[in-house]
Amino acid sequence: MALIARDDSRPWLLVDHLGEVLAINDCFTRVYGWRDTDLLGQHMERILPDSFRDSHHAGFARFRLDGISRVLDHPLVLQTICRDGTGIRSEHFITAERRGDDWVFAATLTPLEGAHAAPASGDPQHP
Amino acid sequence: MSAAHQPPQGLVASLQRSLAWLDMAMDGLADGLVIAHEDGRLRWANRSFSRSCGVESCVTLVDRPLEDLLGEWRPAEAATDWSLLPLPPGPEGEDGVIRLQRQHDGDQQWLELHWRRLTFRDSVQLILTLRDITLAIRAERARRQEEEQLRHQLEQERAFAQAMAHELRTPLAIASLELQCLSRELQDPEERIDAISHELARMARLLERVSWLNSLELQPPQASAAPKSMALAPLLGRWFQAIDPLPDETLRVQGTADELTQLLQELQQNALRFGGAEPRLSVADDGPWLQLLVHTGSAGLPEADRNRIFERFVKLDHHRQDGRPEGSGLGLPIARSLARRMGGDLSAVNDNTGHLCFRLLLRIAQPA
Repeated sequence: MALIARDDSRPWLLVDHLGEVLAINDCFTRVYGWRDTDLLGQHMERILPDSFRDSHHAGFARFRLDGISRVLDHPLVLQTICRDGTGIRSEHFITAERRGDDWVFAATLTPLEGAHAAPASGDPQHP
Repeated sequence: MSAAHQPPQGLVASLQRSLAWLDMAMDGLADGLVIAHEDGRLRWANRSFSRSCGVESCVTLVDRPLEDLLGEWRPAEAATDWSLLPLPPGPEGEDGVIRLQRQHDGDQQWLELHWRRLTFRDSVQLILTLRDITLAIRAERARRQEEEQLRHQLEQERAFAQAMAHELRTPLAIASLELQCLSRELQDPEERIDAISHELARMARLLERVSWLNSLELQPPQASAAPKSMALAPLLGRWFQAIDPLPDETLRVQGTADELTQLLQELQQNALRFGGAEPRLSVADDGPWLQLLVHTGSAGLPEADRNRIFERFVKLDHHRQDGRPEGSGLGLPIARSLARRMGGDLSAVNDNTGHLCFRLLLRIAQPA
């Protein structure tokens, strides 16, 4: 995970055991438009399409209970919501690492479609 | 969300635990469980359904149309078109069942899809359960087939008892009449006694042949490590005078000499009864089979009659009328049972001149 944190060639974000965003890199901002102030401390469901939230919450809760996940450590192609509310199909590679009694998750994303330019300022259009 | 509006961490953790237990319970089901949007796009699925789609987690199935995910599954009833999804507007709580089927690796499989419409937070959701009912349907079909076989068997036994009673009634009536005449007139007692003896002998022969046919059909052939075989040519010559061509002396067919002797005798006698003249035999090699065509010289028969003559006690009407000797109606069923016992078969065909033939297939024995 420390290696990921130093990598700015691809977008990534770190999420804590409650699903709150801990960090994103500059590349993530360049591709998806989200800035630190939009996401840090917010639940990561902001970058998920509405329809994915149920399966995400169930899988997340399940992993905390039994430590078994079927989405970790292999590529998943999913929509990622950009700051302007549009979506980009991206390949997500999610890893988990123990931090004390809980977990931290790192997701490295590879956009499969054209990326958005980062807005200079303004509020996110997506809740 | 400001800190003031954040739910307590303990409550979040507790809800997460409940959700996880619920998810785990759903994954424990053998049935597929799906929550879909009203338009048929998948929202959540348990592990059983995900696996049936070839993935471990439902996350990659989200938003895909259920109709696509069900792939080659189609409604089993031809009358039902694939109009499940999207469902037409309907009342809350409405539900229904659709049976789906597909061909998979050469086998037919069935699913029962139960759907229910539920409204949640002003949006309509579909809850679907999918149950594999292939084994249950196969068991049901096997049971029906067994019932059908038993019913057929019972019908055959009833028909047999009826035919047997009919066949015995005639000689019994004749013998009884002769006895009455004998006691009343006491004229030509020897002639009467001969007639009675003839009818009693006919009854005895009928019973003997019925018993033989039953034993042929009921008892399986003697199991042995290697099938028995015998030379064909010497036996053919005993029953048929015109053979074209006479098989090679070394040619052997599967079966025993007793079985083949009885079979050829039945065929020769029945051909004679049908045609009224010595039957002609033609022989042809056909792969693992040897085909023997017994040309009766009689006019050909329609297909239904060609099948019927192998049923017990069937005697075609025209043979009753033209003065030829009437058989028991058991010769051809006996001959067919013998042929099948020897690993071959017997049927009736019309040859290219329109005459009736018996077609006997015998399995050629491989040289040791």
